[in-house]
Amino acid sequence: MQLYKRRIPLTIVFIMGIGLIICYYIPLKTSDNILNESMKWVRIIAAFSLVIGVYSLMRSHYIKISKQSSGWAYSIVMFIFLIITLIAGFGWGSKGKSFQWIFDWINVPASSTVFSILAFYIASAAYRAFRARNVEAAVMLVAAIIVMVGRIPFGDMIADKLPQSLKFLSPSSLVDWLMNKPGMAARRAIMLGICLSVIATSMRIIFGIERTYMGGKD
Amino acid sequence: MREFLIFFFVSAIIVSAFLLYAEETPEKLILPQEFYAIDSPEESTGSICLIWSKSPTEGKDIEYFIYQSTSKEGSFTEFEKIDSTNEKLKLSSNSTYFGLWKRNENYRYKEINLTIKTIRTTIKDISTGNELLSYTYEEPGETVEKFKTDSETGEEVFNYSYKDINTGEVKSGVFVISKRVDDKTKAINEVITKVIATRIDPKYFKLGMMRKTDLEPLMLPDIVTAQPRINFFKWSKLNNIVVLILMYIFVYYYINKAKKNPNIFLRKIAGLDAVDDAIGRATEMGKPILYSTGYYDASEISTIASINILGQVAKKVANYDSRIIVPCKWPIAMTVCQEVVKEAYIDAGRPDAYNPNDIFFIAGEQFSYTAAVNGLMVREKPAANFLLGTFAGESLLLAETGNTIGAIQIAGTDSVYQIPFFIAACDYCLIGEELYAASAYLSREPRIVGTLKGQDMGKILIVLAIVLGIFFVTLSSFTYNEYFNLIKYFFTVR
Repeated sequence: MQLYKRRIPLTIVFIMGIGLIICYYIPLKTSDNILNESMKWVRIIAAFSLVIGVYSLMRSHYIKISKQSSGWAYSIVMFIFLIITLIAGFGWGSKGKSFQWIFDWINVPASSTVFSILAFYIASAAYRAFRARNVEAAVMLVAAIIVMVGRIPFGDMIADKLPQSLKFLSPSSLVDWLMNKPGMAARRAIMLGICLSVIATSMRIIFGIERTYMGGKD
Repeated sequence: MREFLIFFFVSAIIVSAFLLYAEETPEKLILPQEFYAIDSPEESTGSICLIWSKSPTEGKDIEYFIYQSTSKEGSFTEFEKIDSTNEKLKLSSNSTYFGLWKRNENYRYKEINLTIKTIRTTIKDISTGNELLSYTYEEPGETVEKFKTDSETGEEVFNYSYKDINTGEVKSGVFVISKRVDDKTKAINEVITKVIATRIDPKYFKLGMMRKTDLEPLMLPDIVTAQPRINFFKWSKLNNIVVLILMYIFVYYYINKAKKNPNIFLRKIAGLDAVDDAIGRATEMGKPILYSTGYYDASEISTIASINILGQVAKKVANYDSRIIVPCKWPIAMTVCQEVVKEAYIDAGRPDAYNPNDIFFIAGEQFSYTAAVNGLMVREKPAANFLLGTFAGESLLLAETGNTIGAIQIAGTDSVYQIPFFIAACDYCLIGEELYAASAYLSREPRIVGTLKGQDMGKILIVLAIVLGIFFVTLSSFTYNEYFNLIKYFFTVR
């Protein structure tokens, strides 16, 4: 059991990890082929796993219906649409009119609707975040107001009224400065930290130091 | 006065005549002094670089001409003509190949691939599997293959025209690939293209130069060639691998150090200290805990980092006898999460409390997943939400919904643009690297904690590189010494 659950997976992780790092530095066609091939493997495995995913989805909704737990009627809707989409997909193909109709007129509008709610959520989150409770929050509030004004036509109107010598104080110039100087510096600092963390985490995984993702300890 | 006027008019006539002559007689073209060929550095695809020194007479209406021949004595044919002001010609435009040497400003280059591919195209009838046509050709060559789709019907045809490799005969035709049958596009024939061989075709090159208005280019006497070689290392990535090796050394050193002395100081991370409180609160309220691993699948390092935290959180949940719900966006992530949570429950000595149905797949679509998790939050009203991993547009949608139901929220992401949303809407936020450090922080396992120290050394290394980089860039701009440029090149991200 130890062999199948630990040693073989860890050996595969080690060989693939080190192998792909080496391939990155070697400018041979073989390296590209190995990298592309491994990406194909990932896609193939992901495609197979979709069956497990659909099974899990059906199971969780079946349990909801059988227990008649809160919102179980929505699970029936899920089953109806799953069956309709499967029939459309398998019957006429993913390029068929029926499948495309479902995608264009149900999936896309529904996704857009969910995404559009973001505007209202931004407003409520901004209201909480921009209350000037202390100096830092006040600085953030001022910066946010400048960015908002600089991104709307009103900002351009203000810029038009300013004399040439004071153009650098126009909201859009201030926005550019805020985004490209202090904003960029903070982003880069975070990115550097993330990159180093990714290297360290990859090392922990490649050398088998971190094994939580495999479940349990040694 | 009269003499002065005569002198003035004569001078004006002479100057005007001179200017007129100068405008009408174009400057004489000066050919490049040097012209040579080298193997393209950093690649092994069979290409070479032609390099020549900048001509002082380059300009808008001047073109460089490259001529090619299969033998040194053979007749040369035009290969390409390039505008002399083309930015891509500049050697300095490709620092990956040629570095940051100042002299690169005075050189021009053109990369030429000498690989000839032998390609076999086969057209097959899908229903019978019979081969309808098969031909072999060389690329680059005169062969034309083009798929054309009717935008209204979706029907597709394949146009071909090729020169037979054996007979030299040119053949062309059209095959219907798919057609419309009963409201559905049906594939009839299939085109299979396969590279069956590759070879290097050595060539000789000459360089010429002329004005667009001229009839004949001025030619350099030099005939150059180079043999493409196999390169085994991307030298432009040298700095990258040096940092990687140093990081490995630091991490290895600190892991060993941590094994000997496990009491390594870790600065407090409020978000991770609040994990116990969040789980405790959920237990007291008798409500579940919701955990999301984010937008990406288990192949992403951020998702793996999140799954590592999930293992620690699930163990605490099992100890507190609470319930954890993990809605997953990807099936692979779901199976990994199930295994991790199961092992955590076994580790905590409560395997009976593990419920695999609480870790389930929802949808691969971004907003379908978001809508479903939001619905779940509203129905189940979890007392604590953990949003850890990479998130995109759904970050605020999830966090705000969690906020409205009054859940204590601990979020963490490595997507820089989503951090502000989490800070605004969540109680605690792990910023960037804290997400990756969380597993070590929660487990306190010396070997994992040791890697954090190694990471800190990496940061010191980067700060040093930034300071040295700034110093050498400043020095090179003051002194114009190209050796400082070389050091700057080492510190440049490529």
